[in-house]
Amino acid sequence: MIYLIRATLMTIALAAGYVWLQPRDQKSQIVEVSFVEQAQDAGCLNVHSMVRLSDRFENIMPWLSSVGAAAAAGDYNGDGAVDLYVTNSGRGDSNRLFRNRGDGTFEDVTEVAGVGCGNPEGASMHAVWGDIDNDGDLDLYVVKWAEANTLFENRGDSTFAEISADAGVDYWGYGNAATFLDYDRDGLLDILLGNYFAAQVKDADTGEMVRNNLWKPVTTRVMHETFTHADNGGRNVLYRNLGHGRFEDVSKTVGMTFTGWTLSVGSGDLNNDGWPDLYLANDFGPDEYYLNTGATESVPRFRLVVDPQGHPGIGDDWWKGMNVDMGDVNNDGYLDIYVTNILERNYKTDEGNMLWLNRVDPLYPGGRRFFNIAQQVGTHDGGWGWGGKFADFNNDGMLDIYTVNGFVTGDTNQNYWYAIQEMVTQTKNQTANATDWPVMGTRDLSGHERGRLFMQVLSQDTNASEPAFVEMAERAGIGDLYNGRGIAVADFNLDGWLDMYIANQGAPSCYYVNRTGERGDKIISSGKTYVSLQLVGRPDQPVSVGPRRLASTVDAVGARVTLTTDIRQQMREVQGGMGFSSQSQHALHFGMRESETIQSIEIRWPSGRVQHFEAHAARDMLNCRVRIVEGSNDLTKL
Amino acid sequence: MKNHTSRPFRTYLLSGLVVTALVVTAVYAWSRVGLLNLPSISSQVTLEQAGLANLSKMRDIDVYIHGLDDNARIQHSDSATFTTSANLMREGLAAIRQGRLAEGVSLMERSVSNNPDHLVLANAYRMEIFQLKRSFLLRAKQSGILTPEFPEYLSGKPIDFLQGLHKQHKSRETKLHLAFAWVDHMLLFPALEIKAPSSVESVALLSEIIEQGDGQYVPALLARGLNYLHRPSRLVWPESQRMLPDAAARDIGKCIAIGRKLGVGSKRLQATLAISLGDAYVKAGRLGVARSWWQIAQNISHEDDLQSSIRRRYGWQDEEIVDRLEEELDRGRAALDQPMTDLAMMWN
Repeated sequence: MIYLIRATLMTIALAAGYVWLQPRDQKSQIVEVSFVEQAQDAGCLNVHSMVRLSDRFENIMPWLSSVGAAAAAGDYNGDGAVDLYVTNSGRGDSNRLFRNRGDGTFEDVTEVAGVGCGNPEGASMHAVWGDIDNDGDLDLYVVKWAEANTLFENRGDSTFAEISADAGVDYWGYGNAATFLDYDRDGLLDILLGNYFAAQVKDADTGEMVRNNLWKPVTTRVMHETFTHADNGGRNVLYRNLGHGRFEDVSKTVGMTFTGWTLSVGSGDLNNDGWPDLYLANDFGPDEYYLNTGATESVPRFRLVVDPQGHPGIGDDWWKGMNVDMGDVNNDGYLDIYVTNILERNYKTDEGNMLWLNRVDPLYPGGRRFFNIAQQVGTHDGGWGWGGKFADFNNDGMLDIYTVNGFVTGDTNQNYWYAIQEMVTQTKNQTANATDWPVMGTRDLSGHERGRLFMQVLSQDTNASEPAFVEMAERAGIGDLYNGRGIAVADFNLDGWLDMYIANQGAPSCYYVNRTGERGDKIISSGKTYVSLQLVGRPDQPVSVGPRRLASTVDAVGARVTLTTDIRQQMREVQGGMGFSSQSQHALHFGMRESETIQSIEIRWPSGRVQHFEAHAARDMLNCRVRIVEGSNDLTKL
Repeated sequence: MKNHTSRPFRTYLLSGLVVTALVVTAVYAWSRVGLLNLPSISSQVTLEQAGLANLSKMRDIDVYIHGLDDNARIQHSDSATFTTSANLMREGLAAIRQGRLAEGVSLMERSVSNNPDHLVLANAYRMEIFQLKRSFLLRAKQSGILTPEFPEYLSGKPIDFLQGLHKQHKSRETKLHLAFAWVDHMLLFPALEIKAPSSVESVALLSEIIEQGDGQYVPALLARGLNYLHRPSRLVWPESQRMLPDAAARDIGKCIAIGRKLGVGSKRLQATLAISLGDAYVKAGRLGVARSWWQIAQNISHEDDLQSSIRRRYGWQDEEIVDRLEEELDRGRAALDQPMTDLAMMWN
């Protein structure tokens, strides 16, 4: 009997110990975040029209017409409210510019502004805002398939002039991605263009290299050669801004020669040497990671990083990079990277989105080594991923991630996954000829997926050096099952909470207004606050560094802000458009708890100038949108 | 009771235990020291080849030219030319202290030109120019001048002057002066965009010295090793400057090995080098070896600043060690009252 009692007590003690010591499931954590979809009411609804190519590609038309819905956020008229430019890809269909009325509602001003494009020969795929002439207003670069890309110069009166050919950026090809950056820190915005299909193919009849026009094809051998290491895509282009409205193609000079199938391009200072580096997400092959040599060479170039094992990129990826975004997800002062990929649990279980944590390792190029922590921290399953963005949606000082997904929505009783896997195995990866592909018809391929809202939460493991996330999309009110592509994150209604505009492929867009700070009609105190900084660079005030003169662009792309409170540091960098078919606001948004005390704000401008705002001045920026001009300590509250 | 253990057996047992103890000790010692990887140095190496001859005499000259001891005199064995040069340097330094800056610089340059291979004279010249430029920059900063321009007697100095000197008199010493001048430039202008190209220039010159027949020349080895060590690991270097991960450890390790072979160097210098070698192994990813060298340094010198420097290093966790080391090195470079390029540490 005594043994029985002892055994029982021991079992109870063990069970209690297990319960006590076992880390709590992150999923049990409740995160306060809430969105309401309001595209129709807010006047920014756009039903994306899809591209349709030559009938010779009819067997895989749903596949080939699966991209083109993009959204770019930018305050083009300088009124302090972020506007929206969204693309349409169908022949004759105009892109749309939505002017923000200042309260998060919009009016369509495309015609007045003159930025519709209309796709007379090809299809619009993406667009990014950037001030190429440093005149204080945002210009617009529209990226297309089979039509010259278009650069619109903002005249400053809410109308635009098309200057693509004069500027030398009217590239004809199959662009899917672009970003503005100032790679040589000369105070002029350069353009990095990511292309998908090759611009030229061999004519099946003559053997000559001719334009690869997918509306009037000379061949159907236009697809990627393999699913894992294809290099027959379009070449990427880096346009260096020469000033006076002129650009030159410096791709070869800087060392960018790979011809992968690029879907997304990102730029940010990944190794904290002050010079913007590049990450290119490629389909059907390894991603590219380039380090800028500007700190050690007077004429900056990009060094393609190959790890000590000889692998390109930053580690083993799964050859279907769709999206790149950069953000300091663990608040350690270094940019981390989020790359979307494909995960279909019924067919492919070993892939998924990648969250590359940036860590020190002097043996790796740039002294940094990246670790994919997506699976252990819960940001791995994004379905068939497309756009993905870091943002602090609940103003708790920790970056969250929203990612959209879904490829081709069809009849769920007829799935294309099996057919494509059969093709890959039976044709030994010979996929270049589109006619060899099985007919898609109305079959479904990872359609009907819901976006993922990965909210960062405090880790239950106090010793953990990695962030932790819980997936909250449905609970937060994000319920659409469209095939999402581009994401524009901005505080559109100027209430201090970040909203999202989602461009969906061949479907209505979604405008998710952040209601985290509200309950019903009431604004509640959620114990959160924010600082929003709009940086204005002074290219007319360069800084001499030895024989060089470094300068910031007016829109301050590449500038870095570190906000220090009594419990943490947050770092943000001004982006020139990042994420698949995505561009978020230029302004830097910092959320924080009301219990936190700001100690300082430091701005590192691309010119090399460093500006400090100590506690008093920094606290004056709380719950405000503030404009800071380089070199001036005068703040303008917007 | 009879003891059945025979005498030979006990002898064998004892011998076996001794041998085992020796083997264990040897294995332990090898694991601690053998892995420390100091290169073997030829027994033929001389103090002259290593650039370490006459260190005490160098110290005396240093004291003399700086006028630190009124009783200091140049030895009668020194040539008349050298005596003149030393006096020129002494006068130049005195002139600068009296505020006759341009004249002082001119006198120093005449001194170095007369004896271009002398480390003490060139070092005094570089250090004085360094402090003059530093003071000028500090005043300019206090006056809010963003792009200060040096007065003519400092403009381009000492690099331009030493470049000219090396053109006229090509020797390992004049090349070394120039290489150090580039490092001085890095210390004065810590922006990466100046620091990194200066390091490239400096390393190129030092590599020429080392690879062109002076592979045992400690000042060049040490300068190159420290150059590699202080390069931030996050930077991307030109192809021609790509280096092995343990490049710094190789050069600094060789300096230590030569010093040991020749039996030169103060305790402080030995400990400083041991700390640097430990640091270099951190950058090579060999943290165990790094900590062993710090321990060696701890045992060599008990000076407070060195001991606290080592204790700080012991406090670094593996996951943060590179960042903490680079912060420590940044602080070291920022200590400009006694810049790390001051060769006086060799003879003091």
